[in-house]
Amino acid sequence: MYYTKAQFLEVLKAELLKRGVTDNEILEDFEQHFEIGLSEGLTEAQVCEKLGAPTEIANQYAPEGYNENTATQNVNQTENNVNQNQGQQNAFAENNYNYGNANQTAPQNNGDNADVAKIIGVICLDVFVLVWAIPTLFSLLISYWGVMISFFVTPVVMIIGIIFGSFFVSSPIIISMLTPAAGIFAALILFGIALIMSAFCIDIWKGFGKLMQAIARLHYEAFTGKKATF
Amino acid sequence: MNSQLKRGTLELCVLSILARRDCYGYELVNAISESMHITEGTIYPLLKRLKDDGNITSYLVESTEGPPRKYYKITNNGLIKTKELEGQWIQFYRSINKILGITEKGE
Repeated sequence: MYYTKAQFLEVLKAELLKRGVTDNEILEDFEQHFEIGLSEGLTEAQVCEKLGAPTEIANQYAPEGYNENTATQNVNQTENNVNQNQGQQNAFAENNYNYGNANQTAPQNNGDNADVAKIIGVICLDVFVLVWAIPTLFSLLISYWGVMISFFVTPVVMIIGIIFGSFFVSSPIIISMLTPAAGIFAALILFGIALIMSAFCIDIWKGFGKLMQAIARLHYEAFTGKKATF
Repeated sequence: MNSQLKRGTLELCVLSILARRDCYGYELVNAISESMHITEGTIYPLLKRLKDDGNITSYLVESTEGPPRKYYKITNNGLIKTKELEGQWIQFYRSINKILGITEKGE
């Protein structure tokens, strides 16, 4: 069993060498695997365990016709070597695989970096569109809720006014112009409209929230170049 | 699941995921281990073989944290190979199911 990244990579390197495989890229791949695994909160031992035995992995890289038996005989020997080398585990832990060259080989940069054009675009969007669109949408949202609430309250007040007369509640002016039957009819119509509006009020509220979130995400991604996680 | 059975089909799984989107190695491992248990280290030799055979290519993408990530992308050859393996797989499991007496819906 291997418990550290350095041990694992060292054994893998030795086993690969034994099989005549000298491709540095292989070790880079595993190095990267460790980096991501560790960044996700796994321990080195856990990553090692999930990866499986380095000798097995090395076998799979071996050119066809390679005799696995000779390799497995050497496994113990390699493990001993690793134990002796614990003190000088600089082999892979501190290596630098020339990552600086990456730019040349990365034509498809998936926009992981902040980019001036994006920032300018977002600022233009803010200044020319969002600066009026957000207040407008927000006031529409508020007025929708206001109308809906008043359409709930008005019929109640009207009906109470009709039943108890103006002693109990001061009737809205409109009552004085309507017969009681017409008043109740009008109250029901308002109540119906309020009910229809209430069916959408939550969705409209949520929709506005989502829109705000999307705008926030857009800004976050444009300015930091990172993927937003909210 | 039997490891020998898995080994034969892992190639198809990897190709099929890459046919849908580009992935880095760790991502591929996660995508596959969602559905079945694999020894994660076996993915990389497989990816190298697929690359050597021209079924996939790789490119590096700068990462905000740590070293750049190596993404794998399927080639046209790889897409053809995926279709081929997919056909073989369907043929294979139908034959086995027939022997086992498992009938599929709609047959």
